[in-house]
Amino acid sequence: MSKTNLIELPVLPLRNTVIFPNGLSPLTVGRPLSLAAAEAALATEEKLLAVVTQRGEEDTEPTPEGLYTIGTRVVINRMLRAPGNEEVLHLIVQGQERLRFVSFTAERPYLKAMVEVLPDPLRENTPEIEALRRNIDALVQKALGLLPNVPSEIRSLIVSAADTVNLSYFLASVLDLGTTQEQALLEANTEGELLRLMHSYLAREVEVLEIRSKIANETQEQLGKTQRDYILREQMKQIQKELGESEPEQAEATLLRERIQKAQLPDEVRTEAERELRRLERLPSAAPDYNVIRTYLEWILDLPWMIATDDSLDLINAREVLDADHYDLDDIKERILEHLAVIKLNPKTKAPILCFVGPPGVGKTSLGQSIARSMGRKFERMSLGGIRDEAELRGHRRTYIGSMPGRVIQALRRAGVNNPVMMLDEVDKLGMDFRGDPASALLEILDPAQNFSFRDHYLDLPFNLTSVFFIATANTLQPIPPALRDRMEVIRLSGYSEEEKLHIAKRYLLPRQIQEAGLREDQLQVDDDTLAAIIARYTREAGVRQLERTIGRLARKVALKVAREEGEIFVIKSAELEDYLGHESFFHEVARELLPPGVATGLAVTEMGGEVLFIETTFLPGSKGLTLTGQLGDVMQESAKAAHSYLWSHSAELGFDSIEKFDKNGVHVHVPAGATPKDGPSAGTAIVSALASLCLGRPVKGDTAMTGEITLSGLVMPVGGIKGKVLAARRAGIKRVVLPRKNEQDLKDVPPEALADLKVTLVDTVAELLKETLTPAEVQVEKASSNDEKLPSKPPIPGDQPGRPSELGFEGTEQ
Amino acid sequence: MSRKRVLIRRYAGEVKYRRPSGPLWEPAADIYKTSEGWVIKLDLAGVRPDDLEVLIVGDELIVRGVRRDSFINEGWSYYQLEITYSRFERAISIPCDWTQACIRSESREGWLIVHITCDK
Repeated sequence: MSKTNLIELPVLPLRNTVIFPNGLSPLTVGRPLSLAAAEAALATEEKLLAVVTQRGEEDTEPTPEGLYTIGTRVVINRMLRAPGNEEVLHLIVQGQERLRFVSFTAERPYLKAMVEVLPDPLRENTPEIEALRRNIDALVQKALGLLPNVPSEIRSLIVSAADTVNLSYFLASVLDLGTTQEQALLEANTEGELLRLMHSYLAREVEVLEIRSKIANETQEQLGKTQRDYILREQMKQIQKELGESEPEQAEATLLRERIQKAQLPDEVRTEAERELRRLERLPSAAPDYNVIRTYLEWILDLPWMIATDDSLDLINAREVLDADHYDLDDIKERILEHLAVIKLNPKTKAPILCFVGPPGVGKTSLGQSIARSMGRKFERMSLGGIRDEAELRGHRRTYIGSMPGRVIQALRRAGVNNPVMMLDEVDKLGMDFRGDPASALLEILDPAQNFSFRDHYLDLPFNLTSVFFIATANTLQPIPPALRDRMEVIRLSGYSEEEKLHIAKRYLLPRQIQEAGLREDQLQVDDDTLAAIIARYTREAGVRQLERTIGRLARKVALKVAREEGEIFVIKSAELEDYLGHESFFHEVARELLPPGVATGLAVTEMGGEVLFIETTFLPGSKGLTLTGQLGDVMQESAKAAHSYLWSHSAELGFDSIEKFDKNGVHVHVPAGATPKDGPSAGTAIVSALASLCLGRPVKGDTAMTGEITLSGLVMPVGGIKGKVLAARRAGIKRVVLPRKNEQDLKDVPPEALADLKVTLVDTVAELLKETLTPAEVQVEKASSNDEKLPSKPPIPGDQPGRPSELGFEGTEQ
Repeated sequence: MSRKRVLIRRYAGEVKYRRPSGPLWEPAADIYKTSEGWVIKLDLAGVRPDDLEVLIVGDELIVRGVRRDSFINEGWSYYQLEITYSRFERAISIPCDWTQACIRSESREGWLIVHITCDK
């Protein structure tokens, strides 16, 4: 109670701990010096003791020099001797005040010192202190959140603590800060100093706690997942054992081994399969490679390495099948039969690689199917349109995740035999990009000298493709790389003539559509005239798809009427077509009887078959040179330049007296329809005729169409697509066709009924050509009226009027 | 049983009473409400009346002092210690107008008893 400055107290040195004012602390006393000090304190009236932390913890008999100089005065609240060992005391002491050791008065039997009681740290009230207080509060809250096991009493004690100094002392005794830090806190003389220290310690402590809790969480999570997997797996094993199943990986390996033994495999493949199987057996089923190898083995086992169908070599039957499916196409049917004959004589022969080229709808794809049927082979079709990646055809190497064999191997697995008819559809629409060139991959597949050991990237084993009957289809040959074109036997399927279409409609399309519509055969009857009218007025195409759709539409209309019970049997006449199909959809680009000077009728082939097109030319007074429009390709432009140059240079021989027109005027050549790209040299004769007509002011004969390439020296060279062009000319109502003489043989392909309607004139030179195509000079003036009288049935077409060439109808090309 | 009067000191409200630093132990107290006022009984066995102090500070009654262990003799040693010695202090606040109250205290049978008589 006395407030003397100096008092003498027994000293109890502490190891590893600091006792702060205020707190209750348990102490175990065992060292003789400490025991003596505790006994001495107990023998006093007030049970007071000075405790102080020693600097080195190993020191069992600390000297005054080994102690800090600031300690704590404590009162012994409870004392208990350890049961069975009375030389150890358990004390509970309560800290009271801080002390400074002034001098030690004794070292034996216990340390004794004169001490000065230090005042409580001075409370301050500056903004800094307030900030520190709040920060400490926040940190304490955070720390409490991270320590789930703090008893609720302590929690509420901490939260409700009003005095930050006492709170700091309490926290210091609770937290494990380390002796040095705790001593520093005890020695702080002002609240500011104490709080600054406490704040830094707490911040560090909170950080440690956060990291600890993070680590603990992660470990927990990791452990949890591994443990769960393990338990589930063990359970599965137990279940399987109970069910009498052996371990799954073992069972799988055994199954695969059996399949490998049973399968018909070439030696090389068998060796590889067994090697992979051995690898598989060594792997646990959870290994990522396990599934890769298993899938690979399954692919090997599923492929028809040695399985083939027997070809049916009955030539008569084959011909019947082909005829039943397709009209005409004699060339192709013949080619198939030849091949069957060769197989009959030499079973080891290599299958041919055919390429069908022709416009859409002429039956290329379905022809492949009937070839397969006629030979008794399986049919597999893959569309190559839009494939840009070489790996699509040849597969990805097995090292890639999700790798698969290419389309060829996949098709073979689907077919289940190694000699199917494999159709490579739309081979002209293969793409190409940075991932490689699929057309080049096809080179290997389609080369009979290489494809006996085709290596897919995925399988990496040679597969013999020689028995596969490859058929490629394309609309045009142009985009196919020459190397690839060279490997295939190209068979052209040109468009059908109207007569052919009529036959096809009668034999195949009409019966099929009647059946589709659910009608009886006698319920819809269409005669030939009506079919011809449908073909001419409602379709425009080289093939027959549009025709089939139109017939289908007709059949459905009839089906509707039958369902409404408006009648039982319908015989359609061509006059009634408008009632069923609406207004006719097309009138073909027809011959213009009345051509102004400078316009000529040319013939072209498109993917849709032949077309009639007009070449229009005009002078551009005051300008120079040649202007070409209408999306003309390079070859066509050059052809126009050649025509221009020829006329200019040969004007004297040709009898033109108007050469100065070329000197003074530029020329514009336009080919409608302007949006459709056109190319090729075959418009040469038409361009030269148009230009000559322009020059001379004599119109080109309106009923005459022409095709042919021209040279600068005035020769007319042969061109392709004669059949399609002649058919188009006839369809357009042209009466006369002027062709290069060297194309004479091609006329054999043209159906005779088409030739019967047309007059064909063959020419060798441009001079001959112009004689045939231009109207004679004398009758030029009366031409307009006399022409009208010659063909009175056709009304004039608005586009025919000179000066308005942009309105010239040419709608057919866009189909 | 000895009855001894205990000195009571009053401090005016303005005087700043400074609590001694460090925590002290607190004796247990019973408080009775009587017809005259209040009786407070504190468990303070073994405390000499000389070592006791009763103060009125502001609106609080403060009992403080020190319990000394004078029982121990030369040659004795503790085997077990459960009674708390040393300084103690207990502050009690009751709804009473201290300025008007008549306060008297006595030490009896180990208790300290404080009688508070409130004037009407």
